[in-house]
Amino acid sequence: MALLEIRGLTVDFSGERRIRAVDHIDLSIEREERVAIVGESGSGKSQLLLACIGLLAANGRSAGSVRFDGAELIGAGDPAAGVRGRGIGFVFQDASGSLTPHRRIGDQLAEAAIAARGCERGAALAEALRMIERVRLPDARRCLAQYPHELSGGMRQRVAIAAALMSQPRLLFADEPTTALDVTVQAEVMTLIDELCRDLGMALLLVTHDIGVVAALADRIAVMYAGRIVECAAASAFLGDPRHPYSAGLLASVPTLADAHGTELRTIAGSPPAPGSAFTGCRFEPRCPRAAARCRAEDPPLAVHGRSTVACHFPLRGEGGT
Amino acid sequence: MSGALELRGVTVRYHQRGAHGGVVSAVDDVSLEIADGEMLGLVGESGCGKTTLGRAILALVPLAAGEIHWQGRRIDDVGARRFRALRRELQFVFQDPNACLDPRMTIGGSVAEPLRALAPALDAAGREARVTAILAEVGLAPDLAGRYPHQLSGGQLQRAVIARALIVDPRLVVCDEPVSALDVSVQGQIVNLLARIRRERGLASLFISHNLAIVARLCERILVMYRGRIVETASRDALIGAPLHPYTRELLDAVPAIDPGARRRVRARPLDRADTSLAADSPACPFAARCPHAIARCRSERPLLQPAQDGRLVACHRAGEWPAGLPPAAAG
Repeated sequence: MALLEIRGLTVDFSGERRIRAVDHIDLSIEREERVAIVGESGSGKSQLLLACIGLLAANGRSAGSVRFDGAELIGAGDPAAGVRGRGIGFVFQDASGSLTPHRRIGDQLAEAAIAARGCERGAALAEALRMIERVRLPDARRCLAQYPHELSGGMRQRVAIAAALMSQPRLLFADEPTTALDVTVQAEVMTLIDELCRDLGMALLLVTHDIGVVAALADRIAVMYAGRIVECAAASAFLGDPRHPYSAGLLASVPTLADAHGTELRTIAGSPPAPGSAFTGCRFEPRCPRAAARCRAEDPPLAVHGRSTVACHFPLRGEGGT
Repeated sequence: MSGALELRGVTVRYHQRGAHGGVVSAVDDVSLEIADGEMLGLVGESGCGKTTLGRAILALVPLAAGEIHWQGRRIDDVGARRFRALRRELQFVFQDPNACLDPRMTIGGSVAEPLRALAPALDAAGREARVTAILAEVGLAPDLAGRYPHQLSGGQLQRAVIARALIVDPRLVVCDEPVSALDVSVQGQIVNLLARIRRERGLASLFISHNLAIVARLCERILVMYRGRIVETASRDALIGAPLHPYTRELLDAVPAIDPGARRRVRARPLDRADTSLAADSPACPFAARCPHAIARCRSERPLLQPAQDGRLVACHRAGEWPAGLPPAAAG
């Protein structure tokens, strides 16, 4: 049995018109596995995460099934409450959002351990100190006595990670954990998350728009587009041999230093569909260089092609990302 | 060589609020030149002063010291009224299109607005013709002129902002993080558009970004800024192939490689507390606290920007020890 098992998960938002943000997603995460969901803004990747831990906005509704260690998290009465911040820890893009501004960092961290595991306060504070050291913050003792605003953005994100780990989760949800940080700090925070997952035997579900961030640490990569997973594969297979035209386009459009010599950047024509758009055929068809009549008429299901699972009528065949 | 735009010793200071009330040099003694038709790259992280420098060029913040010359004339002391005439020549594109476009005005109206202010002789028909032409130039369909900002995608909005900057036929454009807020698949479209505009119009520009890979794509000459100062200036090839300043090396190492199986080259070092403050009058090299190559001298004496080989400039005491450039950090 997988640690997290997502089956047919759908997220709808009500309002002037219904918007389907997540559309029948299946995804499973094994123990200690590190999975990255890559997608552009509006692809539904963050709502997928929030639905799993029961943190959708008030007008959001989830349907389908999400099982964590066998226990169902979707349904009436907030069944995810028991794992939120316990079995599943989470880190968001904006670290200041997950830390209370008016309480000392030590107290906030200790509280997480007390709430999740009923630790006694002294033991919880000692643990908080070890965790601050573990996320490589200098002068850990002083840090415990500080308030969030006294730290830089990169340091705050480390504190947020430490806070998420205080409950000893078996799965860490990280939504764009480095997007708000400077480039040199981004790399350090990803390296830190990588180390912590290894050392603590923790699984990771990382959500990001930046393929460059996940390339170095994910075991498996899923690409989301307009509410659907369009490709899922082991990271090495995906990065070397993407099968969905959208995946290939995304990979090719990441600017690197290797081919910096004034050549045009590869791009994907057009822009992602607006939330709530209606689709008949493939959602990527209007932007796809390989689109044919069938793509406009028929929504491609996920199917195995080579080492990937791909939702495309005309997947690429090992053409090395072109 | 004398550039179309020349900055000499430009310094911008901000007064900090609060009890301590210190003065921070956001831009500290920066000199640079941009030739006619050149796109100069400026790289650095948040808080390094790159945005303030761009704003200083456009007279949006006052200088504490230094001079700015445009086409041989000094422009930093002309005063707001006379600078207005220069607005036709010096334009800007900022990161957030929503901050540049009035949500209650149509795209066509926003794009035409600079014409109303800076070319009042032009009548409505003339303005409309210019708007149509400029929208085509930036790749926007003519019918978008009647839409409002919330009806456009992020990429379309940034194209509209670029159109608004170009409509007065400027000779220099300051582009501050023009693609940072965009999705990856759209980012490239805007980068390519800026490259084409520069080529076709022979426009001079300062391209400011934290992303070295994008700057390298567009600019043949690149400045690296750290804590308000230029720490390295070099051609794109020299900077990427043989960086002389340890900070440049760090920025290069932070650019992701999309190799399957490649691990990111990052030292898992603790953050230094000194990173977070801007100790203005410290005698040390501002990078010393986080520099893997720092020696005693770096903590007692600030290195000046000095000429290195091939017309490069670098502010590092030890740069002479690695004439072939700093190698990438070991895999970790």
